[in-house]
Amino acid sequence: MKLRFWGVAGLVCLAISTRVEAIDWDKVTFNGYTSLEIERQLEPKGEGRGDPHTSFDAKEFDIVLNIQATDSIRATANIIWEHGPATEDGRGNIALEYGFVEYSYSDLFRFRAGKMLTPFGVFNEIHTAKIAFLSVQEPLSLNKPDRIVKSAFRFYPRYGSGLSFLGDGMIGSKRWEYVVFIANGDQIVSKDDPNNPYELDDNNSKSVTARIRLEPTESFRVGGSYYRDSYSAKNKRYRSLAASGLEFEFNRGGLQVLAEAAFASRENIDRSKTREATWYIQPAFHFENGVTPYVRYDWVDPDRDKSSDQGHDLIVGVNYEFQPGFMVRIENNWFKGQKNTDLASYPGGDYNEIKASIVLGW
Amino acid sequence: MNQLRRFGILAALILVIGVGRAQAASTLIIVHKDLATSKITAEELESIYLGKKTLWESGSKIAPVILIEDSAGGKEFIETVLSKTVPQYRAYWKRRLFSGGGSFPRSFPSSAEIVDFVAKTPGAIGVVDGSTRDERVKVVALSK
Repeated sequence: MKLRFWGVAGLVCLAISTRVEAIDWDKVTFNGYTSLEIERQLEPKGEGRGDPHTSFDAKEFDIVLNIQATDSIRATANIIWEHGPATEDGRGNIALEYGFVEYSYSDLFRFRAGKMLTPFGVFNEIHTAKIAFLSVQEPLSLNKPDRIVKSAFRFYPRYGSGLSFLGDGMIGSKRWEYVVFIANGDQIVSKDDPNNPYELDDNNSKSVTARIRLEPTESFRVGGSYYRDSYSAKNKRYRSLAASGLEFEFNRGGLQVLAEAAFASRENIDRSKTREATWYIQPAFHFENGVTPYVRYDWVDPDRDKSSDQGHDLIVGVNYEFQPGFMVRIENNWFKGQKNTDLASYPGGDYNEIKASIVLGW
Repeated sequence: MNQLRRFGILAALILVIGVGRAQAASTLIIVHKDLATSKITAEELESIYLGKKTLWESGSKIAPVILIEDSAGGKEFIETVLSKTVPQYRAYWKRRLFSGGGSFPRSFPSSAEIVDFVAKTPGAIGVVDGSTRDERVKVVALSK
């Protein structure tokens, strides 16, 4: 019996030592981030769908792994635990935000395979990484317009399984970059749909996302994005979605101005089209003591052919990074809609919500 | 405007890095000894530290390393060569890292540690204090 124990123990030690030797830790990096959010609807009191109780939200805990397998091959993954998941209680969410392998033929021609965040605009690829931006939430106008105006639709799906081609280059002394992503696309008809779009496509159409960025000067960057896909034949309401976006970023000294606009056309089952438009602008100023006040104006028009249905969210906030990678931020959101607007959290009326968060990244 | 910017970067780098005048230089660019590279342009250096140039001409992976951002040397390099403030540099890399674009350049608190890393890491490039002398690494010049 004793001999058997030591035999098994020896085999385990051998297995562990072999695995340790197989990993070159200089080629592996672990990063991540976590945040806690607090929200409260201030006005009007006792009405609407905003949070009246000042709730805490254990927003996320993410681990980001990078493995440089060879000079030209890298694997990376981001695993998220969102909203304090407890599978026993069926709460929260655990997900692979992205997980892919990248092969670099050159800096101009790289290739990725796996699950990726749709490369549309500035924020989708970092939407959970609150440490990578100033405000409590990413700009809702481009990323979750239905959170401002309930009838608005999203410009692209969050993720996709597929292949992407990307690269960085120079035109003279100007930097540029591109990415083209081909994926199964958005095929979810309802949450009960048994088909997993990261495993099986239920139609022949593949979604295509493309983005190009150019830096005319050190302080100015401009870019454009495009997304197109046909919906599944099972979708009884819509046929296809096409969206395009523009982005601008200006950085000089402590000043940063970020702006995006997006336009989409969704073809309905009766061949009619719903045209949506949205934009935001976000000026901010970073002081040397780590304090960054910011203002953002998000605007959404869910149907350009209807009048008085637009909504907006005006945010005034401040972010304080009191140690590198450790931030506290607080902001006020004024949601306001025109007379025919169906505001997401308080249909038919304006409301005012205060949001704050504590964010750590490493 | 473009010519002016190029001239500005070159002038700043010549002041900071002191090409060919190592005695007077405040900073030196060093690479792993096996690399064929003997000179590098300002644009290439900037692209390397922004993660946009990741491969040497030979196809080997570039492993960039700098002095920690809070040090005088690290800050000077980021502001002069990368034309960014330290918070802008951090924000840039956080966006890149967390969108799947790769890891920050490694950083060390002293030139001696950078030299050790560059000496033992094929494909490594580092920026160190101008007074650093070590035969285990190769000093490269900045070219136009």
